[in-house]
Amino acid sequence: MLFTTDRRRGWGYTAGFMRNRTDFSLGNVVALLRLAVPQLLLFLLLILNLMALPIPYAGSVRPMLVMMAIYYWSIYRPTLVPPWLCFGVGLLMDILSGMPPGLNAGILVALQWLVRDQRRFLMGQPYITIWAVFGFVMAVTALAEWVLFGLALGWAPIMPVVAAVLLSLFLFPIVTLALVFAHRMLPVSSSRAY
Amino acid sequence: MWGPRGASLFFLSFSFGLFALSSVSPNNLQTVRAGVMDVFAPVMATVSAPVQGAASYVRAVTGIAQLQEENARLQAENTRLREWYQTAMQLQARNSSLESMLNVAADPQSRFVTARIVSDSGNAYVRSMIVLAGREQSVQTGNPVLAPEGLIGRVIESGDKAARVLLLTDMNSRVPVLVEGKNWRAILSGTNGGVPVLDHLPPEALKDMEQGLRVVTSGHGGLFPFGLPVGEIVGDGQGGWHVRPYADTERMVFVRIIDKAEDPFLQLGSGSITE
Repeated sequence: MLFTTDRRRGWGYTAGFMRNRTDFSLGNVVALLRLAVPQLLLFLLLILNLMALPIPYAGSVRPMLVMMAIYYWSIYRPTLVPPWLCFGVGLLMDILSGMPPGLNAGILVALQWLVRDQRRFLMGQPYITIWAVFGFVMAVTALAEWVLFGLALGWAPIMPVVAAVLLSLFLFPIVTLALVFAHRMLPVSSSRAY
Repeated sequence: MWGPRGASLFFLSFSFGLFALSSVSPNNLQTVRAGVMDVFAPVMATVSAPVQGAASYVRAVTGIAQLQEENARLQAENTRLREWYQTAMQLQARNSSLESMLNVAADPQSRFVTARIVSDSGNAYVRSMIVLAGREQSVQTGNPVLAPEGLIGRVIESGDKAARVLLLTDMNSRVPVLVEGKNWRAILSGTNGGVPVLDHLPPEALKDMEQGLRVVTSGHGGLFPFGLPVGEIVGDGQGGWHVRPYADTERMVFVRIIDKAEDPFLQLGSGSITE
């Protein structure tokens, strides 16, 4: 089959079906779109992360939506979120939210690294454990971010950070629903690579 | 195994280098930041439209409970405001006739640009937002930004098509203000909370301060023009005085960005020379 499901071949297969016109079918386009779903979802979460969400009384508390996606993919499909992507997404977040550049970038790279190292343990765990570990990881990263920001630019009140962690914990199942949906969109075979 | 770990280590040290650099001298990366903002502001404007719509719908639904109460309050306020309108018209007429009698120098005229907010008021650390107007609309760093009710902040970074506004409530915001009627000067310092604190009040102010006094910009330092409405005084009960801003940043969709004021006499002079 021309349209293999091996992601590591990158753009090679695109060139392949361009050469062979008879293969330009709706099925191929759909398959291509399906491969892009996780990236599109990550981008959407990034944009949503910068906006006031329609949650009453949330104010300027922002749940860490991007961290949820990085956490999820680091466990189940680390090839989707390589360190450079985490860095890029974090840097974009820093710049667009007015934070000092490099803060979120470093935190996302560290998060991906730590979670990826533990994925053999985490992959076999039930959802409730994944959720609990997420809460722990969130608390640690939020504290690290708060300390680094405080050292560099002055100490911000910590209560909004605590509220953001709690809100993230609460929203995690909703966002994981979207992530699981994106995961199902992907071809099964490439997950065997890991 | 070394591969991904090496990459992680590389990007981790790179981010911390960048972070250290940006906290030592924040202005180094200004052009990069402005460029990124220019590219992403239109994208965010598109995505934010439905999110803002949903947010305003949710606010409307949560507001239904207080609807009747709100309606009664608004009716009472409307009656009072109609009386005020008449008083204001009379005063305006009197003021302009007195000004013409005394030959008062006209205040410099300011122009303004109206811009849409594309990202809302920051996160747990910074209170800022991106608006969809930049240098192409003559928005400059330092320009004051207003909502219909009053001042909300100032422009701290402007790209070609988008600009970042630092809100009054951000902990790095300092605005020279004046307590109206008493002529006390003070500095309004953001705290990342809802009500910024008044610093450097004169000693006599601490005794005579009252709840509800109006606070306006004093114009000192030259960044803000004199007399922009900011908010009203609220006490914290422990001797500290705060200002509740008139503008509610959570309900805004559009803001006005005030251009640097132009001196009317300078324009008049250049006109007469060319004749």
